[in-house]
Amino acid sequence: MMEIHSKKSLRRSEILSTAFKTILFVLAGVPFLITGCASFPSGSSPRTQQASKPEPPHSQPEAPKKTDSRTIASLRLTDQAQKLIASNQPDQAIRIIEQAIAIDPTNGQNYYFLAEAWLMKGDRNQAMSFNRLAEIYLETDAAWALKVTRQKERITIK
Amino acid sequence: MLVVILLGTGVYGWHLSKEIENRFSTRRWKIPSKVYSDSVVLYPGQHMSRHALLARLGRLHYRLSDRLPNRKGEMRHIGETIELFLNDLNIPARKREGFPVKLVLKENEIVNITHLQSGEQIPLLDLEPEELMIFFDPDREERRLISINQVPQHVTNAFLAAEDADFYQHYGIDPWGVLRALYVNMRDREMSQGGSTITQQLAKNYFLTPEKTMTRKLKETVMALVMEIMYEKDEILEIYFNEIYLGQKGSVSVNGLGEASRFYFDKPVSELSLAEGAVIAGLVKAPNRYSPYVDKDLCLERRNAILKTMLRREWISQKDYDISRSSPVTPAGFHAYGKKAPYFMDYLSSQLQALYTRETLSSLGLSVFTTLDTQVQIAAEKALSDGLARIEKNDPTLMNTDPGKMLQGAIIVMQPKTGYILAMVGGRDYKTSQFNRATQAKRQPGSAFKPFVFLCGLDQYTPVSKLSNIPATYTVDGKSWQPQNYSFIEGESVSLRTAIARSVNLAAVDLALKIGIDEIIQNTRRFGFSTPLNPYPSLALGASEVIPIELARAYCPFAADGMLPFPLSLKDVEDEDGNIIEGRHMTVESVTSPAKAFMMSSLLRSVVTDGTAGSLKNWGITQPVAGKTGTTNDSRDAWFVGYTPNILALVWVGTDDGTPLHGTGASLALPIWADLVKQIPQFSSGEWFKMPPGIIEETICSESGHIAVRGQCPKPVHEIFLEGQAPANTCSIHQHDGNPFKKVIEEIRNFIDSL
Repeated sequence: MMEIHSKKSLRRSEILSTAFKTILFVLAGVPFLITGCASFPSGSSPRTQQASKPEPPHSQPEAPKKTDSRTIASLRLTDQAQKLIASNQPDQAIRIIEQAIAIDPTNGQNYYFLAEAWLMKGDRNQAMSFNRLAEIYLETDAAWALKVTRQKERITIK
Repeated sequence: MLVVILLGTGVYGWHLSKEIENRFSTRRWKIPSKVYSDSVVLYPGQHMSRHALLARLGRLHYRLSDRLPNRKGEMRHIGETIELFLNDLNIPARKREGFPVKLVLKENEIVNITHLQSGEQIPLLDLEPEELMIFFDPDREERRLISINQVPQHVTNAFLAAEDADFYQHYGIDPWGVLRALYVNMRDREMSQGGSTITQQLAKNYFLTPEKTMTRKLKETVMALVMEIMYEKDEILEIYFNEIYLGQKGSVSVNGLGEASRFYFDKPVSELSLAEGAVIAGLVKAPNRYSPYVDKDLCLERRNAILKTMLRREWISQKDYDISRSSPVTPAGFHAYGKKAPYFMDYLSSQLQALYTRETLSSLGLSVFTTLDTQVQIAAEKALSDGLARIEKNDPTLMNTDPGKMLQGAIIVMQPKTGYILAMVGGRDYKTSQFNRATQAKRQPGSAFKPFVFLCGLDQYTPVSKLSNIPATYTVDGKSWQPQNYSFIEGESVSLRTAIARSVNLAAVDLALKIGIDEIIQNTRRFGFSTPLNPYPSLALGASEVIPIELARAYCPFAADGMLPFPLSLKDVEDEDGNIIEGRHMTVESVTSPAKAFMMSSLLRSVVTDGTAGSLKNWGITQPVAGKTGTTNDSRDAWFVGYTPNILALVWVGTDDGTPLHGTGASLALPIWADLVKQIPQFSSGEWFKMPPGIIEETICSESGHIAVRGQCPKPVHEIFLEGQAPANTCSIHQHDGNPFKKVIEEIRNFIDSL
């Protein structure tokens, strides 16, 4: 089982804030408490977690932490690949993107351009596979997500 | 009579001209194909061991210098700074001219890369690939073709001085030259000139067999005359420069000025100095006698004699003569050809030979580019070698010199997303055993197979689902089978996460039988196993043999959003003119969903944080890793497969004859994995996988497996679920009785307790 550990420092500050609120609640009067209005919203009470003293956290997967140098290096290659695709050189573009993925496998643009290169080469299966990966890695970027969706439409149009 | 002789010579000459024309119009020389590693990209901020980088530059033949590098191939190393004049890069992905750069490293990280002349920052730098292997024909000749235009005049003159000073004056034969040579040789041994002109030598080398008969001598003479009529002097000289035998590199003959220039001075012909040119020119007479690698004094004597002739002929000035004569002979040094990454090369060769004949590979001068990363390969070889020695030291009963019983191992390192095979070690010592355990061995994977069972279970079960930990007896083919846990596991049931983390056999079999063995086989087949998966419950415990490289590849989808990559070793093949005649790209196939792949990585990470691979941190691995140990019956095989988003490595330890090892995957294979990964910091980003759509997080009561009740459940834990599979109910064990007043009082009490 994974133990709770994420946002630990955040929770400490929340505890203080919650404590403050609780004191205010007590001061505000028992009748209010009796109505049960002081129950905490489900799934967000750090105080109760603290109260139950969970074991030290250790195994919750962290969100990816971007190392700038990797991202920058990978994106530079992506730019080169994009230019190669624009000049109708999909094979050269794929060679460059493979290097870019090796440096930063979470750079979603690489998968987008891989899909583009494979579409150019006429392999819709590969294009679709990479489009799916682009979808995952670019979902939080609205502009890119839209491009990925449009690419998917182009891939699926017979 | 004279007319008849002349006519006969003419007819014979015409006949020979056809032979010469035919030979020259077809391929002139056999050029062996060469195999290269992958190129390497360097960038600021990259983790890189300085020691490893310097070693790589050494393998690329960069020559250490104590001055600022001003020629391609030179480098200077001062403290944390490496300055080098890059060689030209000529790979399918990129071509560029060499230029001087400065790399600054600090604490095993590249701080910056700048252009040495302009000071411009360089964001990305490609280092050229390393030469790994040469496909020789049975004659084992190495040759590097050059054009006459690349040869400096002083080098050409040195050859003429040594062999045929009147080359540009005569018509193929030089009767006066013969007499002069005799006179010179007798006079003062200044020059040991031979009587044959360069054209005659070429005719002899290129067309004729070496026996010494009058007929052959006559044929050589007529042929030289014919060649002089058919070709320009410079054409003849160019063929000569490419043809001439100039020494021996181990069992391989060094042919042609281009190769000799590399072999003796590790530089292109165009950069040879006068003194160096004279050394090579002096070799024609007796390459292995005058070689600077054989006898420096004799070599120096011969060189100076040639320089003297050049001075006498006024081809060089007195000053040039004095400088060159006083310069020492400093050959670059060489390594005899040895097969690097031999098991990988065998694996690659089998693919190449499906595309090209052996004759093609040894004669057409192809350039074969591969996925191999030499630093990873060296790290893998060292980790295996050190690891096996350590195991034997700890348990001397495993020491055995019999190759069939010797402790063996195999390592495969892949990039899980691209499918690149970065390194492959198929055994402990290629010289004693060429059997490639990475690609040819079929071994039981033991618990290293379990992830494929658990993956199948994810459709119906979650990480908090309970699986049976009660011993049971099964009847298989009429025989009873009673699986057991490797070590004691408490309780009648365990969660699915604990079952994989602690590799609980009883729970794995319980899960497999709940899913159905056929279903497991059907699903697992998609992961590219070519070996049969036998439909028995023991499949869940890894009883069906697999090939290590197929197991490594089958783990890749967990690290690659569910995409199974094609295992790539061969990338591109270029012909002599640089045209790509074969190109292979990464290709993938979806075998499971990104959400399930993420779930598997999360489960397999628990193996490292809370389970059988917990010792990984003791071996110095602190970055997040997912992995699985495997140990087969009687400890015949020990496995560890571990991965991060950037790299995946499989380690197998065992013996060919199945001798028990007295250890586990965790104790035998895992330390080797750790050693390997620590040596390649550039692959350690420290990042974990991005959570894909289709995964939700919940806080769960670790006792009931239901949604935790705040303040009630004593051990709430964070857990992830596939969408739609999270428990709907709150914890029934610690459910509150519903009185809001009591609940608030408890909240206050808990808060006070927590202060």
